[in-house]
Amino acid sequence: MESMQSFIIGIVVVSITLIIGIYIASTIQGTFTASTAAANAAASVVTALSNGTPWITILVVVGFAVIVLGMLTSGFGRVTEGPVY
Amino acid sequence: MENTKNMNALILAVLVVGITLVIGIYITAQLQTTFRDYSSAAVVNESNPKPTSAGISLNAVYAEGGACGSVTEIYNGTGGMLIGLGNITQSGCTVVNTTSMLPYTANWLWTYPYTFRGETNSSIAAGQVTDSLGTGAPWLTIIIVVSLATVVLGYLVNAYRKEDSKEVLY
Repeated sequence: MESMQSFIIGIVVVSITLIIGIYIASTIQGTFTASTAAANAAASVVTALSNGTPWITILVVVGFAVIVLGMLTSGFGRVTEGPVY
Repeated sequence: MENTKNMNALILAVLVVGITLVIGIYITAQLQTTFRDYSSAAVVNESNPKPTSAGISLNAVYAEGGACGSVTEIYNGTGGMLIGLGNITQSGCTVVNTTSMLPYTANWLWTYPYTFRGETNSSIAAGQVTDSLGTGAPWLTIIIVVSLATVVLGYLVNAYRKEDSKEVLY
């Protein structure tokens, strides 16, 4: 149960941090003169960070799948502990 | 008693996860709105119907966050005759006629400024993350079903185990 809570809090924190990071990099990019090395570098950072957003979907799906599978295996694990003689 | 404790912890955990997820989605959606860039543009000679007493909508209202400025010029769709602004009353992007304006044709050409919200890299990313977190919501149903099924199975298994234990005593 605790792992489920820490997982979702982690995902939300990562998501918000990622968005704010993209915003900061994008704002920094806007302060530089267009097409300078600094502006290009900031744009690369924005692109790189933006590539991380689709992974949030994968993290959410895989994370929840792991939780559900964990519940199933722990539930069936108890069932298959064997008869009590 | 053990199963009841498990069930309480389970319900609490699902609630915490659900609320955290919703708050996360809300925050990222708000960030998306905040990170959009407000831009202004002008429409020149946009063809729209002649206003009625019920009012017509200028097309800028359909842009993301579109807000219309005051109409600056109106021309008749046929012949290009200038129409006085006193013939209309404007409220946002809705225009209502103040006179019947029978001499004019069905379509008018409208010129007006408007503002809209454009997407930025940050707002697009926030939107994607909002969608990503949204994919987590249906999993809560699965977690509730699976975990409650596990609790029910636990009750059943415990009951059968007790029966088995009694049988072994004979």
